[in-house]
Amino acid sequence: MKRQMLGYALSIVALLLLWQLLSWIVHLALPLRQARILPYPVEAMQVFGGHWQEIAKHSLGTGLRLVASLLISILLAVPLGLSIGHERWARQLLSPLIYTAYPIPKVVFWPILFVLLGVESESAKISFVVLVVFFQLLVSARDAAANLPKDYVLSALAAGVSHAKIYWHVVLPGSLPAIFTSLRISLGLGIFAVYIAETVSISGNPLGLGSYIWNSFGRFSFESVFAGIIAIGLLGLGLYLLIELLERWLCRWKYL
Amino acid sequence: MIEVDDLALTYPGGNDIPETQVIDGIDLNVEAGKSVAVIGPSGCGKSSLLYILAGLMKPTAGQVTIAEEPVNRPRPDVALILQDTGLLPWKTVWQNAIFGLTLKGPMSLKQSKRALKELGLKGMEHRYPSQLSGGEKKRVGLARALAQNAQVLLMDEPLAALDTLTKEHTQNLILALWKKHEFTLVLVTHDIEEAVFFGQRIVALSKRPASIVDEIDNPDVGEEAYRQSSEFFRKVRQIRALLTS
Repeated sequence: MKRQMLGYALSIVALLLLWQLLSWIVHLALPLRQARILPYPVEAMQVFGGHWQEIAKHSLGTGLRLVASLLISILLAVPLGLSIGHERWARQLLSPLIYTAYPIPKVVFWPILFVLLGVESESAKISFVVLVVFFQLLVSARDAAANLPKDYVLSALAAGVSHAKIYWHVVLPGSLPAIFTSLRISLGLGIFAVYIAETVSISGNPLGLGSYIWNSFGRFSFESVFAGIIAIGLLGLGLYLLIELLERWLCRWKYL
Repeated sequence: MIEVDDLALTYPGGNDIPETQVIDGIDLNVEAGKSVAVIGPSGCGKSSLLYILAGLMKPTAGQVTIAEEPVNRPRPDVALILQDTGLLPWKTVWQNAIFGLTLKGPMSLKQSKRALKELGLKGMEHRYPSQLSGGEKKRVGLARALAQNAQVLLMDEPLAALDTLTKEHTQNLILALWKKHEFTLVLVTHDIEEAVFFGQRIVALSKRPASIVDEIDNPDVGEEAYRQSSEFFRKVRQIRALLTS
């Protein structure tokens, strides 16, 4: 784990160096008015340090929204996906529905949720993120359950485990590694969706990094935009590590 | 103990797949405490027969009874060991050994501990299957059977993936357990020597749909150094000739 943390630290340094290099190139190639759109890392970090309380407040808002959305998605998608994957009748009945709904870009539903649930309501934002993440988790859980080695289920049934308990003892733990992989992908999708949801505002400055970044764009404060991007990156990294720790705990048999 | 009466199994077709007859009229009786090895070509329906005995599949026709009770679902006194032992990778040795025990009272837990000790797995209770060798995994599967005090042990090509020495060692272990605990043993295999080593009766099945081609008595099973005897090799040659004819 220590080596992994060192890897993350080195990656961040590499990313900052790349950013610095790109900023140099942009500042050399373009006039200052245009070049300002890509500030130097140190400028963005100065804003980040100077406005850390405000950025922390927005990060907390986005983080809570994201965690709530991911939890709701997991609670809805995982049991449904596992049962569709494990029960042949459910797979035959519901797979066409999933295949039809999965490829639809969920962003088309944003205006509908926007109108139905209220422009800046939490429920609209969370519902949108759930909608984006749900299908990703559903399909992964379904495939994981469907592809479990038959011997695991047969062995449990032969040992007298009831059909319902098979889910708890076999289908869920056997599918968990694939669900965690999907959750990591969902985190990226979720951050994208929450950003979209937070940029829509009619009241000025609602809580969330999406609105912070969007408003900073409006003020041509590109250092603040990048301070917000840094915050989103750190938030994503934090949640990614949290998911990784959770996986290492729940799937410790995989990390021996 | 086990009575199989005119058993037939047909997989239903559908979606352009024709229905497939897997088992065609098998009659088989196994007395309590005896061992039977079922041998036949790959894909002939041996495993399906075993799953029916374990109560995991329902036959299309015919009936299976164990201890004079029809088998409609898995029974607590019947243990099944699959080719890769069916151990769950996310459960420890101990959790796998007690998995499915209907009554996890002190007696059962004591019996499970005794089973692990008997199979040389003491001290490995907290390990996961991925931390075990192939032979140790087989022993955990056997420990589970002993822990549930199985009267019938069904084995589906249980030693297929082991190297020669580990395989022989595990075969000797299973035979010793069978002699000591006097459970009824039904083993499905495509390994002729394994069939001769375990089966007091060897049942040879035809190609799909499986029916019994011949039954060969093999009363010397369990005797000292049987594996090295001329009678053992004579039986092996007899069955090879039967299966290749």
